[in-house]
Amino acid sequence: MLINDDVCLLLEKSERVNGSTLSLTRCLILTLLAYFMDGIQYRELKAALKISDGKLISNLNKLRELQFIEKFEEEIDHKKIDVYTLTENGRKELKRIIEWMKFIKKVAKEDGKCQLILTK
Amino acid sequence: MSTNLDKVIACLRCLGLRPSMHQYKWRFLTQKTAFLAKALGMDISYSFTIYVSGPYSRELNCDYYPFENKTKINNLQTDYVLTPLDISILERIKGCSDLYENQSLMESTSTIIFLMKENHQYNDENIFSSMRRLKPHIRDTERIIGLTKAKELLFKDEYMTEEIAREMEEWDRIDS
Repeated sequence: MLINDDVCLLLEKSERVNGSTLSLTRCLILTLLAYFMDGIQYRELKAALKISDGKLISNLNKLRELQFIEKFEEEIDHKKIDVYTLTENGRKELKRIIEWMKFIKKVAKEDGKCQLILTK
Repeated sequence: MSTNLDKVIACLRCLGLRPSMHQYKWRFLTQKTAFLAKALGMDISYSFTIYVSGPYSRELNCDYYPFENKTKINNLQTDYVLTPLDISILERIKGCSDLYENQSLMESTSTIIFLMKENHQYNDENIFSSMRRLKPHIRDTERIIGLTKAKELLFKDEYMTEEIAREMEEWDRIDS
């Protein structure tokens, strides 16, 4: 396939990805929730991502608003704990991001000449 | 041939548990039970991660994810026959029944056992600092009790030297 076709596909695929999910924190949350299918407790996410409550809550709320994740309350040792899980929409979105990233890698790798120019 | 999932179901049955896999709590306890049984010597080949919700096995998660397997676990259906070694391991876990009443203690104990198994050179101080980093939401009291429980579960008869036996006898006398 010609490099120009790859570029065209890269641009096309980027239109399918929701720009709101393309942040390190949001991608990480989606990926972790895809791995831990049972769900992750809020306090576990906070410990893993090492970010402030404000930043974590705003990212979780945005992903919930986009219907990529769901929240449910679980009673653990007589305390109400929020647990998050990935929705089917979230799983599809993560798949689109991965496909798009694979294309970035492919385009950047194949154009050897361009890399040569960049390193000079 | 029995699968790993069959072995896990046999563990739950032997421990006298009545799982309900549509509940988060039971998926949590199934994961931790499978880990404890494997860590104490049962032949279960699931691999576990310590991070985020760990000890946690993605393979086990994938095995119980289908509806029919959740039902199989809820009904404790298994063809696996526990060996005498399996039973002795599960008896030890049964001896720490409070783990099933306190999820934070279960999380603390299983995490500490994972750390002890993976890092033989770790002392109590190393374990506490790793726990603070990995599970800051677990309270100090649960970490301390978790460490005691972990040592209790990993204790082997051959560790009982005459010196320890004498010391324990003295403590028993104080109680009476």
